[in-house]
Amino acid sequence: MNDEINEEIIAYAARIYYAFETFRKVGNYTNIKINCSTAIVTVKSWQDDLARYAEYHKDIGFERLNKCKQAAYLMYWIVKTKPIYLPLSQSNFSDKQYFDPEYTAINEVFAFTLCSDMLGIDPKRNNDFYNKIYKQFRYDLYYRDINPKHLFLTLEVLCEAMSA
Amino acid sequence: MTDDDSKTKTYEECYSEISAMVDEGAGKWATQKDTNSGEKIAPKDLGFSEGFLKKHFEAIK
Repeated sequence: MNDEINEEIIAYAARIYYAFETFRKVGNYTNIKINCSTAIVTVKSWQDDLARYAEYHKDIGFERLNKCKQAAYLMYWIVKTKPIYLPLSQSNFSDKQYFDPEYTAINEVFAFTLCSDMLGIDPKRNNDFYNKIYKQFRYDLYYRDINPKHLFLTLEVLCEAMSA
Repeated sequence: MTDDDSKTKTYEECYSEISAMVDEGAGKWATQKDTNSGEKIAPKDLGFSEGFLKKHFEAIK
């Protein structure tokens, strides 16, 4: 057992931070920020869960930790810890754009987008289907109780559907 | 848009901020021993690949 945040965790957190920076810029989001210490908690929880999962399944011969499982746990922890926030002030609090789900569910949107890329999903392959699934995930991740094991199954089906 | 929004940080800047945060005391947590023998996603592979975000934002218009 190691009592320190290791180099790998720091590198994962920095990658999440950098992915957020790219996402913010390309998506033309305004005023959103990421909390670095929460990002560290996000990736540490993600990696700890994966390590526990691997340890638990070590002796029963399951295929372990493919990309869908890793993406499911990452999606779960981003949504659970919510590292992205919207520090609004009195002057822009009532601005209508910030009531759009693209902002109110910004962590859910970021989690889905990042994990879709991680899984090699190509939105261009079926724009309409991707758009529909994106909005469904945005809604479900925001409003419903989720757990990584169910997410894993959903992501496997999504990958199959998008590659068909 | 705020002043902060206008500048996009590089990976090195992101790494430096995160690393400083850990040095300042966020690092005192136990870390689970990793026994994964699967196809582990490396830190360098975490993030957006070139062109993906453009396709994503076009698809969700």
